[in-house]
Amino acid sequence: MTSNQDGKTLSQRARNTAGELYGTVCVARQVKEDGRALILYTHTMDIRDDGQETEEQEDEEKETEEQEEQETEEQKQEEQKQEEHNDDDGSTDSDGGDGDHENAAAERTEAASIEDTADKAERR
Amino acid sequence: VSELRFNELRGEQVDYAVHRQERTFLPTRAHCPLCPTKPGGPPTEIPLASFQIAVFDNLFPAFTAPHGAAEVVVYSDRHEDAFGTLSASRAEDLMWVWRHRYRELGARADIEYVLIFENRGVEVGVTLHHPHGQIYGYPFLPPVPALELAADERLGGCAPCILLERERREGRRVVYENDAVTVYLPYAARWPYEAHVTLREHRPSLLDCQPVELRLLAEGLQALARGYDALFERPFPYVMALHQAPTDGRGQGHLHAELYPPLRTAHKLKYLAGSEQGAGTFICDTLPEESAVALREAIARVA
Repeated sequence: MTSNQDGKTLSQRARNTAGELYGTVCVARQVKEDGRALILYTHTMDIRDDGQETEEQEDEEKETEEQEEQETEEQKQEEQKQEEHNDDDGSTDSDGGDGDHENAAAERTEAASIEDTADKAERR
Repeated sequence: VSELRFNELRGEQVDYAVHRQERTFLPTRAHCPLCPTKPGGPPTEIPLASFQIAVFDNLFPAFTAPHGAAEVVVYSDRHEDAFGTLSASRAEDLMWVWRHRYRELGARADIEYVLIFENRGVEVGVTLHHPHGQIYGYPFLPPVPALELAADERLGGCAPCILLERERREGRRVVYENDAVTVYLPYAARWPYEAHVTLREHRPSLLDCQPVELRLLAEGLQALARGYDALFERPFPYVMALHQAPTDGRGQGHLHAELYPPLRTAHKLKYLAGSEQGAGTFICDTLPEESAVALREAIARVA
């Protein structure tokens, strides 16, 4: 038995409990009730020969970046409009965050972690 | 707690782990301890409704800290899977899991050699059918890797590199190749279908492999496992042992897997009997060149 039994999916649990990335797997460590170690490995993404992301992933990231640029541009235009509008009625926009932006940033961090941990600093 | 005793006549350590006598023995599928835990059911070793690859400390360990380690590696949550039937992606993940465990166990001061292995089939003593392997962290350098290091000295270089070059030059016993890995039945195989899966570049351990090599190693191992099953059209029992560099800094080693299947025909086993046990000399009924022809065809048939 582990000390962590709830309704979460394995991938949620893996990311929540550790998030250590190693090559193509995500490593989540748990301790069983009798004190024995339990390590769960879940597939994360494919990596290229040199430890970098695959072309497919690079394309996806490029698309995300382009989308972000487009959204930023749209956001600027929207803010400009809003400022103009605020000038008119004095109201403010208090929207706290953009999920898509946060996800894209997390993906980049994840890719960097893979590069760092998987292939560079572990040779004896 | 296990106890090591040194056998003076053989010059080797013997491990006494008497608690293992009580280990789970061929449970029914409903009581498999390596399956996921079913809702409302008794807890298994992995108390989750599903998982991909899980590693845990063996409940009945042959070695324990601070005198070694014994871990179980469960390849899949599907009871009917086998190493050879895993998806290519899962098999590649398994190579990273092996590498991760080699790195962590090998870094421990009490572990001098890490052996990753799989026993498949009751013929080689399997007690749980769920697809899994094991990892032992030995607090000493065991005899087989010590012999491999001695072979390096005898041949004046990396023995697996030299032998691989010979095998590839001759070619008769090579049964499979991809861009990084060669599978062959060694010139002096001890088992009728013994095969070695070797990285062509000199890689002492999994830690020295490029990611693509890990993928191709998984591909080569799976090609062989599937070929084995196709050979006699039955699940093929084997012992698979991954040989790597000792983690105590002695010698380099060369990453390769050795597979020792006990079958000599579809229904006949090769036993270790008088000559093998009493004198240490294997007596073989078949030539590796002949076995290679059949195995090469079987691998090609299911490629």
